[in-house]
Order: sequence, then structure tokens, then C-alpha cells
Amino acid sequence: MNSFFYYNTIVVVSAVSVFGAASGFLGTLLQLRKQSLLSDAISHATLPGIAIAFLITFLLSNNNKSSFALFAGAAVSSIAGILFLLFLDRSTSLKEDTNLAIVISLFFGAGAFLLGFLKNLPTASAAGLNRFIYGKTASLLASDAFIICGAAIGTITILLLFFKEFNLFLFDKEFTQVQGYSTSSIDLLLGTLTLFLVILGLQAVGLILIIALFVLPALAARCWTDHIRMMLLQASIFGIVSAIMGTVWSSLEEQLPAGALIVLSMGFLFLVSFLFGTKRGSVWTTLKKRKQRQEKNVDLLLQSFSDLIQKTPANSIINMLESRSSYALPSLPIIEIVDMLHWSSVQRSQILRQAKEKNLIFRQKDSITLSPHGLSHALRVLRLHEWQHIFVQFYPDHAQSIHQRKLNKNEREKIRIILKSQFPILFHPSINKLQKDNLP
Amino acid sequence: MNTSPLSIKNLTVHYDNKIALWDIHYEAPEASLIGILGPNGAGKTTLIKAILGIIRATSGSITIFDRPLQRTHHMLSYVPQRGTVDWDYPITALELVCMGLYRSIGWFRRVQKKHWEKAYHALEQVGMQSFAHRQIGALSGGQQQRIFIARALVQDASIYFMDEPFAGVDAKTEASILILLRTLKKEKKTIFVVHHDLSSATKTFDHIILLNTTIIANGTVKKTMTPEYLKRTFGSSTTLYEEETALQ
Repeated sequence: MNSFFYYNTIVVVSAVSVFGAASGFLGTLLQLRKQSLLSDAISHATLPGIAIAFLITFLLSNNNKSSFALFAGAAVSSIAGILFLLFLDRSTSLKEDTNLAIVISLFFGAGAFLLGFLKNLPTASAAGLNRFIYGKTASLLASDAFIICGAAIGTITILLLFFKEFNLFLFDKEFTQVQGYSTSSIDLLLGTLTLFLVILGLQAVGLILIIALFVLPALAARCWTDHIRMMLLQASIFGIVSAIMGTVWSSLEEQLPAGALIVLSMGFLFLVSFLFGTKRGSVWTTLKKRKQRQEKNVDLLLQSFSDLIQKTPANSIINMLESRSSYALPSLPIIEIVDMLHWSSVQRSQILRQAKEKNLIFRQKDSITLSPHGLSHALRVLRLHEWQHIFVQFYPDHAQSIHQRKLNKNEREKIRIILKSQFPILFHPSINKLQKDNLP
Repeated sequence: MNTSPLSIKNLTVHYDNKIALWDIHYEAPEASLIGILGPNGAGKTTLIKAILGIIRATSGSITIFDRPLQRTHHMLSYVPQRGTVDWDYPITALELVCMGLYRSIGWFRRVQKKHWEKAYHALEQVGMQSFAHRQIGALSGGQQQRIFIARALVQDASIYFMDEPFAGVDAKTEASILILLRTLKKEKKTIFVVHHDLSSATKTFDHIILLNTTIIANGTVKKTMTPEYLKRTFGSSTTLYEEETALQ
């Protein structure tokens, strides 16, 4: 008994995780097709069919709930749902999402009505239908699990075989058409696979939540990569991981529905990706932007000393740099800087604090002076500034890509010579040392 | 017998109840650069899409070198307007260009090294090789336009259809695209370009189609760009163009 139970669990976990991989893969394609909700429409549209199929088998054989009949009912009614959706898309001017809402609510409403009716039947077996709504992973039979597994592997294989064509179609439908492909066939294949996978996955996750397994892996993967192949791979992996997490979790807490736990696990993975994903993770983006802003503002503060520096004889600047003292440089009134840079008072105190923390400035009551360290940095900023000017002047074509594209050696040398002839102090060794890679 | 690269007979297209194109008859000259000009809503894009079979025509027949469209897909190349695709799509510039080769690679076959090289070469032709591995969304509008053109080049087609390839492109890029188009022409290709700028059209094209729901005039620049035809095509909106040419 025990070993059978163990065997069954292993089979179920593997089936659900392979299903997760397939739904992650297919869901990514649907998301790129901007049809994520298609899986939701399909899943909700199955309900009336399931109820009717149940009723028919009940009337014919009195208590038997045949899985096959239920699947067939689900398929027929979701195809009806899709046809209704297509009809709405073609013959009304309503938006696609409105039509999806119509199909989802109408079919689910009809299904719920039929279920309510079934509950009044003498047998209690109508309760078994709940597994289609909420999913009952743990009670999956090994035979069902094998079917799910096979179907998922089949789906992935087909998607891989036609990947090139799907990719082309999803990116540019009209171009695909001009190339002589039948776009409606590609679309039909995508829709059929979705239908197939949704219906088979119903028992595991339930028709309400199954959409999460199609939508979330793709979104999570997008936070990590800009490459479609990588995105597909990651979405599949997310699907697998969440399926395993959810099923294992539900085996620990038996009263909790596995479908919900799988979806919650996926939600957790999505949240982590959304926050920390290397491509679109919001934490990194926010931090990077903040750092950029801070650095630029501090640089602007230093830049406001440019006039002063340029008025000071080069000799005394070199002196200051070498003796590490900058006291010969006059101070600037804060009010003047703030006027020049249009900072708010909050910004002002923030930026001055940062500059002080970095040991770039000395602050008197109403004015600031550069520290020796700050002086070198001010020269660095000045050099960068002047470099940009010359750069844009000589290589206007590359102006936008200054930070992205490295100039070749000759181009760099040319700018360096011009700049050096104009401002020899900007090439003082103490400046070269600062942030070597950042300095052209 | 002399076969035209593109011959259109009785082409009419409806959008809902509106007439978009009416009774178009056209024979394209060989190896030339042909501008399609007309006011907004004249059906320029519709004409291209109908020729390519993207839009279903109400009536009419289209032949490419005397053969029906169904058997000439490999001879046609299309550069859509930039706004028609989602630039957030997760592919690089090189992959986008490579898509132009998918048909010739065929079903169930992988993209091989020689295909990548071919795509890279096309990127070089439009001066975009240093952006090959950039995600397409990170490119500027003009750069996106150029990789679209590279995707068409890689197909090595006989007839090119370009929908506003100069839209949102700076003067320098425009000049380099134009050089490319002229090179194509020298290779005996026929190129159709939907264009909106009347003043540059005379310098750009050999032949011009003036379109306003139906073809008002077509032929050489000299024959078509007359005040009378322009007035019939654009109504009063050509005054600017006339003033400009008067100034020159």
C-alpha cells in the first residue's frame, strides 16, 4: 500500500512538472501572440461541456463517471467557446478583450448553472466535478498522469519542430503571409495545442487557476532575458519548479488544494523575478537609475567649479594636486550653485551630503570648497565634458553611441591629442588614476 | 514575349462598405524604382497589401512575371511600416534579419552558420553590423527601419515592396537607403516604394504611380509629375509642393 502510494506520488509529480514545462513553453508563445487570455477562455468554456457530459453518462449508466466522456464534453464545449469568440471577433467591432470577457463569463455562468442543477441529483458523485474547477493533483490516477505527461511531451515536441515558423509568425504576421506561409494554419495549430493542453491539465490545476500556469512563467522569464530561446527555456523551468513546489507542499498539508499551491509557487517565482530579474527586475532598475542620478548630480556640482578652475593658473593647480591641498582655490557660495543648477532644497541638501560623504567638498556655512580629492574629480568631470564636446564635433555619427560603442584606438588618440593641447592639466597623472575605465 | 514583373488587372478592394481601391490596371516596367504617391487614405498601403495577398481583394487579378501569386512568394519581398510589429519582441537585430531566410531554409531545418553569415552581410549592407546582437527594442526608429530593409535584402527577391521606408529616418540614412535601392535596381530588381514626400520624389524615382483610390497617372517622372495630375491626385494640398518647385 505504502509503496503504491509512493509510486503514485512520483508519477503525479513528474506528470504535473512536465505539464508545467509545456504550459510555460506554450504560454510564452501565447504571450508573444498577445493572447495570454486565450487559455482562460478555453478553460472556462469547458465547464458546461463537462456538466452536460456528466449528466449524459449519469442518465445512461446511472453512476459511472467516465473520464473520457468528461474530456470529450470539455473539448466540445471549449471549441464552441472558441468559435463563439471568433464569431464575436469577426462580426462585431468589439475589442478582443471584451469578447474574451463575454465568452469567459457566459460559459462559466452556464457551467455553474448546470452544476447547481446536478447537485440536486440523487447521487453524491456530482461532487467529483469539483476537481475540474479547483483541481485535485494528489488524487490523480497514475493512468491520468501518464496521459498528461504524454500530451505535454507531445506538445513540446510539436512546438520545437515548428519553432522557426512560430517565431516568424508571432513577430510579424504579415511578413509571414507574404513569405507564402498559411498564417491561419499556424494560428490554428497554436490554438489547438492550447486547447489540448488546457483540457488535459484541468484535473491537475482546475479550470479557474490554469491560466496562471500559462501566463506567469512567461512573464517571469521575460524579467531575466531578452532572447526568445532563453525565455522559452526559463519559462519551462519555472513551470517545472512551481509544479514540484506546489505538489510537494500539498502532500505536506493535505487539506490544501494542490492547484492553488502550484499557482502560488509560480506567483512566488514571478514576484522574485519581477523584483530581482537581471533584465527587467524592478529593484536593479530602480537602484541603477538612482545611482546614475546621484552620480550625475554630484558631477554637476563639481562641474560648477569649472570656471574657477579654468581661471586658476595651471601651475598652481598642479601644485595643489601634487601637494594634496586645494586651499588656494576660492570657495563658491552655495546659493550660486543652486541657482545655476535649479535644485530644490531637498535635492540640494541630499547632493551636498553625498559629496561630503565622498570627501569631495568642504563645507563652510554658506559656501563650499573642493577638497584635494574633489579637485581631481572636478578635473575628471571637466575632462569628460570637454571630451564629449570634441567627440561630437569630430564624430557626429557616433554621438548617440558614445557610451555603448568603444572608439577605436586612432579615434581615441585623435581626441586625446586635441584635448591635451587645449587643457594639458586635464591629463595630470592624478586624474588618470580616477576610475580608469570610465575615463576616455 | 515581354513579361512584366507585375501586372494588375481590375483590382478593386473594399474595406467594409468603403471603397479603398477602384479598378486598378497596371503593368510595371522592368528594373526600375517606382514611387507610389498619394494623399493620406489614398490606398497606397492597401495597394501593396492587396498585391502581396495580405488583404483580400474584392476583384481583380495579379500576376508576377505572368505567374499567379501563390507560386511566386519567393520572388517577393516586403518591408512593412515600422509600427506594424511589436519591437519589444525578444530577438536581436541579427535574428530579425535571419527571419528573411526562414522560407528558403524550409520546414524542420535549423538555421545554420551560413545563414547567420548571410544575415550578417545584409546588416553590413545597411551599416548596422555593430548592432547585430542588440535587442531590437533598444534600437532607434531609423535603425529599426534599416534592419527591416536588411531582412528584405537577405531574401534576394525579384520585386521589393517598401512601405514608407524613409519615414522617421534622418537625411543621412535616407541617402544610404537610396543608394541601396539604386544598387538593387542595377541588379535588375523592381522596387516599389510608398512615399509621402512629393518634393524628394522627383529625384528619387524613375517611375511614379499617382494614386488616389484609383491610378491617376503612372509613368516616368516627367510624364506624371505635372501640375494637372498632381492637382487631381492631391486636390489643393499640392500648393506647397508647387511653391517649392517654383522657388527652385
